[in-house]
Amino acid sequence: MQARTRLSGDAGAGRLGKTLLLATALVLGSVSSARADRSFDLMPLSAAADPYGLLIVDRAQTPDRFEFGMMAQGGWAHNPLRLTLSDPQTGGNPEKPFDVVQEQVHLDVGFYFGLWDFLSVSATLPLSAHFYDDNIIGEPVQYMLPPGTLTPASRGGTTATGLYRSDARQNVPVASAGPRDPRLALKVRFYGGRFFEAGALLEGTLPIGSSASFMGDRSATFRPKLLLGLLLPRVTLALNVGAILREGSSLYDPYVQSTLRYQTGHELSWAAGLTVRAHRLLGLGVEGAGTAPLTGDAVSSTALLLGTVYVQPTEKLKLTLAGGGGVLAERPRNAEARILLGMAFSLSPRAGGLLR
Amino acid sequence: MSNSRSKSHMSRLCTNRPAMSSRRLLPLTALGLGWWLTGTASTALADDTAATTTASPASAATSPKSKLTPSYDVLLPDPEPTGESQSRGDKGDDSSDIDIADRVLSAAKQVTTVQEAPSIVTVIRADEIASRGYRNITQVLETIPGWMTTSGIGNHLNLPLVRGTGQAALLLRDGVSMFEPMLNAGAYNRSIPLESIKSIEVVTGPGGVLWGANSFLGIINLISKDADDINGVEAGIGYGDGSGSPQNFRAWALFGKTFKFKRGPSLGIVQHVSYENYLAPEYTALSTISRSAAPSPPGPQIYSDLGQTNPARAYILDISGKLTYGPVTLSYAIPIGEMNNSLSFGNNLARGVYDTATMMPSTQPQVNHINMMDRYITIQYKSRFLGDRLGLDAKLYGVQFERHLDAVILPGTKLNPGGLTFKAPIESYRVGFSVDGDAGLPLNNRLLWGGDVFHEWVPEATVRFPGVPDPSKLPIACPLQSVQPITFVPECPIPFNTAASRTVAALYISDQFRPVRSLTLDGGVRYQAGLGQRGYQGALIGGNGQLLGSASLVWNFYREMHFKANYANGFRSPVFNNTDSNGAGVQFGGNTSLKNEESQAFQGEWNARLLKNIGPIRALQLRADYAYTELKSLIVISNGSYSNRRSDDRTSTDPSKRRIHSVEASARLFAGDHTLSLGYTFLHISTNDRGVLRNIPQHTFSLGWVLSVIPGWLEQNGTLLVQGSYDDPNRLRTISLADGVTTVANFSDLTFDKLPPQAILNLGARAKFLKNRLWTSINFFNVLNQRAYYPDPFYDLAPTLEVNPTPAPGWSFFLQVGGKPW
Repeated sequence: MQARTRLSGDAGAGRLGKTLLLATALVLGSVSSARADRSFDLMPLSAAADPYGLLIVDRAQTPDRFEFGMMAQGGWAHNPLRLTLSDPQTGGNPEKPFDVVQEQVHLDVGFYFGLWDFLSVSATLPLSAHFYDDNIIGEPVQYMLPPGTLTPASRGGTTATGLYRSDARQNVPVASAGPRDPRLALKVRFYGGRFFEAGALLEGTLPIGSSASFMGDRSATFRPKLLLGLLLPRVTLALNVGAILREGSSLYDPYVQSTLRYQTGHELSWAAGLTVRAHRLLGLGVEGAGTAPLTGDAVSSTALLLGTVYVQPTEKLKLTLAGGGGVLAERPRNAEARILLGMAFSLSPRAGGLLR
Repeated sequence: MSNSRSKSHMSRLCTNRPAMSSRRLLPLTALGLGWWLTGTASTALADDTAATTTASPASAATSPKSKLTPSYDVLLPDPEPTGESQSRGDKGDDSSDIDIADRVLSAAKQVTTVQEAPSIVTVIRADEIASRGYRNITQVLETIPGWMTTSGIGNHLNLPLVRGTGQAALLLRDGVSMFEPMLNAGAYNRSIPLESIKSIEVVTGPGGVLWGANSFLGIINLISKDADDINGVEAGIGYGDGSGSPQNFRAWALFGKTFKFKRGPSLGIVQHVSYENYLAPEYTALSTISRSAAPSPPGPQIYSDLGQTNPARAYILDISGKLTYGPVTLSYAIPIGEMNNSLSFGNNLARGVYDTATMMPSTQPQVNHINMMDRYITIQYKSRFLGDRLGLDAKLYGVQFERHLDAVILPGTKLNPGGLTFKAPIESYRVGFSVDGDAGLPLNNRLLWGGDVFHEWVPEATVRFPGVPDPSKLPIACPLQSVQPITFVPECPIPFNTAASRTVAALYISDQFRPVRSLTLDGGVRYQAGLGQRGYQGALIGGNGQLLGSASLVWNFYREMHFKANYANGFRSPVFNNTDSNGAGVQFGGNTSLKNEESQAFQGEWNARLLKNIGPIRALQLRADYAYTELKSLIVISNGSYSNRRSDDRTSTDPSKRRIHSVEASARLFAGDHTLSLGYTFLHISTNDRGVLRNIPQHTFSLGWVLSVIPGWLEQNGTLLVQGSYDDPNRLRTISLADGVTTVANFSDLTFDKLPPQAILNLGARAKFLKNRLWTSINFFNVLNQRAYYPDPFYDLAPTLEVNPTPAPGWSFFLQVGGKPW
């Protein structure tokens, strides 16, 4: 079975329809059995929905009514996708771990808007560029000469290699750059006191990203989160707990096609962060985020830890620099190292600016 | 009611009047130059959206800004201007109200707003063109919901697609049709100097009643700057590089001044000159050794080794301007140049002249162009009478369409060192006269009326194959010399097309009725007859006429929210390449019995202006529309010639049809000095003979912004265009020959290339100095170097001419310095 290409012609219409039925379908929690299925996003974490959050941890604080702002987050990751696969150099044996995606560079651009004092919307368009291990990614077709003398009956032919082996034949190689799944979010603040805050983030993704190159899920996903925060003088502790509901994907070994190598399905998500405002313009923090699988057989957890510096040169501008890596670096989707650089700009931020 | 609304009702006669021309779906692919050609291309765009309008900086500076208060009604419009503006009455040229709801001239042939126009209209103004760093017309068009761009015949042709349909838009220059009657290959290229454009008005959907033939699914009206818009001298010079646009130099100057005399009318002079020198985008791909000839080449395509493009330098010199004396305006444009490209028919490479001594491509670049330039002259008389109640706009025009081909069919390779090129100096012409009028009538009626008559023709063109040592080896019947000994005529000259002509006459009338202030009803009819040698075939009245009708309703149902419902239709008549091409030569066969293609659309739109002057937000404009569009009798290639129906399937008795469901939405936020725009397009296209079309992205998002980093000094701009995936039917190489280099793609080796989602990101910055008298900008295009491919607008399920997807350009940058010294 082939990886499914999304949003293409009638298939795309079907996908949109699926989006509408997602809530129902998700409850069933099925995991796809597609072969060489590359329809999952390498980026298990997402940037905070607005700059009132930390870098990858959302806070319950919402923008002011009619506050508008823009965000951009760039980043680099080393070995974001490591999978154990059969070695194509030896015809499929033995199996060994491959850094399928050796490096990832990403840029997420987005904006947010306050509808009311307690409710906001945000949207993010994420982009990625991948640098693959050419040995395992392979080619869609390869021209093979027959052994011995060329005869009219034996003029050679084509074969696909690597993760293309079970794909339909085509001339176009796997995309090395492209859009990932855009995110739309609605944030609501239930309570905002002096020491405690609580809210929820209802986030969804649309299946626009390239499902053939680890840049997006195979269907829309729904990612609700509960946002809690403890607010002390100069110190903020934020905690997110939620879930990712999706139509799963299954990647089988391209050479031993009965062997399931990796799956994604429904997951629990968590994020936590502790920040200290060291100066009017500067804050420091530690942030962590991860996922834990709920369904599937060949699934694994992700966990990322970052040290973060927040800078607020003006009340309207917030810059963030973070570095860290995957705590479970041997597992898929746990990059060994990550560097993130964020920028957010608000036209009319809350009093005090974007940095708590 | 807001001031803008009342003002917009005071419609004026617009300047623009298109000529009704004929054309046809350019089966460019159909240009049948199937030949052995081909090529392949291996690897290798911008956006944003299109929103409706842009506010001018001046108006932005003067618009009042209210403070946010919780009780503020977000739909409340600006406070009514008092005093001065009241005294201006309905003239309202500089009203702060109307700045954002920009005025439209082309949609209704009268001044109105994008919100109230009876069709789906988008306006892009000169300040937006400058601040966004657009470099050509296609970059502007692809920011508009419902529009995208593609490329045909390698990168010879830039084709805007409207609702996923190619060759369906009518290009106007100041209201004069630039519809090219031979190939329907519009000059959407660098020959259109953007710095001389005041605004671009785009209508999405048919516009047949007002605009006649060829306003099939859209109208693009390029409105040039007047002398008062320039009032001095503007100039710029720039250089860029990168694989997407290597070694690109461009310089331009624009002069405009109005001279007032003690007696008589004033004299306005506009003069533009620009020069551009560039190389076409670079690509690396397999070279083609040979391929069977058109029509519908069924034989194998044989490839050689990987090659790199090496086209000759291209240049374009544009001289254009206008003289205005009172109500009379003389406009002209004379572009000349040689527009060499890097890809050609079948995505073949222009890889340089092959050196037979070294059996390698030499460093000598290769000529490979289809020069696509429109030269025109227009004399316009425009005035108003009877105290502004009656308006008249008359135009006399002549257009020369140059489409000179000197293109690669096969690049030089080891097995065919000489390669193969061909030349065809195609030129077509149109002369015509048009009149548009408007009259204010009692009972809140306004009548539009007009008509036009034009004659268009194409002389016979001859194809030659320079450098062919032995014409007998060409897979076509080359002519023989009539003298002994009988040999082939050198260069194998054969007709590309026979001479053809058509005369068209049309009349239309349209009434706008406002029973109440919040409701506008429009309705109109047009009768257009195609006469002469290639008169319209089988049309409704008299066998050669076409009757069109339209109706619309615009309801201002709540404050600044409007609802539109619209029915419109249009048609395009066959171009001469469809009717008079030489099927025995390098073309698909012409068919003189072709009927007009017809379009109709049922459209609904909701638009609103919200959040006006709330805190830092100056305005939020929203628009969403749905359209059901039906195209009928589409001209297709069937059995090697043009036809209104396919004869190769079960629907052979039905005319070819296309049904399009589309949703187009845009949002534009003006906040402080910043502008943010979003666009979205959904397309679902099905046909009666090919099922659902999968060659066009079903979902397209665009994001565009201009951020004022240092107000008045430094702006940062960007465009992000995200397209969903789509398919392209192509041929796959399935056989490798013994040399290990040569590969073969057979006719039956159909594959659907899954073109992945694409993200084209453009970023730029613009700085202004000395009170805007000096500026500099730098723009980076496709900064991700996204390996993108163009949609195949022809979507032939049995890929013939295009056997691989057409690659889009890689990254590039362009640095410019300019100013207004006087």
